[in-house]
Amino acid sequence: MRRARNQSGQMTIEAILIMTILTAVSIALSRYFQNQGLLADVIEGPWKPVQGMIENGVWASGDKAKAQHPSHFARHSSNAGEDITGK
Amino acid sequence: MKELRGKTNRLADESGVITLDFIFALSIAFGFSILFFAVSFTLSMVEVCQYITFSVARTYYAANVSEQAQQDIARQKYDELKGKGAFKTILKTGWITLGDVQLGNASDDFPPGPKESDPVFVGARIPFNAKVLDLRIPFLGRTVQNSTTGQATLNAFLMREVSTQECQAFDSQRLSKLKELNSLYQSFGSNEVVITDNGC
Repeated sequence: MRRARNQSGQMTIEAILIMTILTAVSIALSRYFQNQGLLADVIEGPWKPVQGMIENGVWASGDKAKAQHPSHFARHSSNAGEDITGK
Repeated sequence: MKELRGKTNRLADESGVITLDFIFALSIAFGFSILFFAVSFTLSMVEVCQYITFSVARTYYAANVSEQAQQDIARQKYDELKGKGAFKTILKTGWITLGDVQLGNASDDFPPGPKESDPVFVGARIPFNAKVLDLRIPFLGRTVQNSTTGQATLNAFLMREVSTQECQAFDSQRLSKLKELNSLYQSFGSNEVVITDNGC
């Protein structure tokens, strides 16, 4: 009877329980991050417009960026010259 | 009683918690620090490599005896810039890689502009790959899942001056056309001398 009333081990069991839950939650969160690729989104998301800026000088991605490359502008060097008087 | 007090004190002791916190926080903080370093390093290297591309395009631009000679000297410049000083050491680490320089007209890789006939995409292109972005952060996973992340092509389209060979070919073609204009012009033999002034 005395042994049953002894509460000295309760704290240890609770501590183990809390540690188990916290570890499980941490592992679950870690797996969620990895499966969803959340960290990859931090790099891969911004990389596409950055790539557009590196390659074509515009904040756009893929073919949209290529279509806006400055070499498409009519103001590049030309033998014919351009009428700037507006006539 | 003394034994029980000792056990209670051991449970109340929180000195290990800070160690656990420290290990966890240090792993995350260290991971993110590496990640931010990788991003800033990549962007800095893009700037440096863009200058290299521009420098190669500028070398390719300058007139020479033939287009091949213009390409050769541009590649020579590229190798020279890659193989010097700190940049050589950075390339050796493998954190970033640079591919072979592509010289010439890259119009096929771009959608047609308002003037389709104009070869406005003449210059140098260098494939760039930032392998340093591909990291594995503790607890959070990989930073790159798509293998194309970190890859870009550095472009510098400065056009190209006409080479002496092309100039002579153009002059020769023009002379033939002039001769065709009138039968009197046919009398011109091989006595005429073509003089080019480093341009057509």
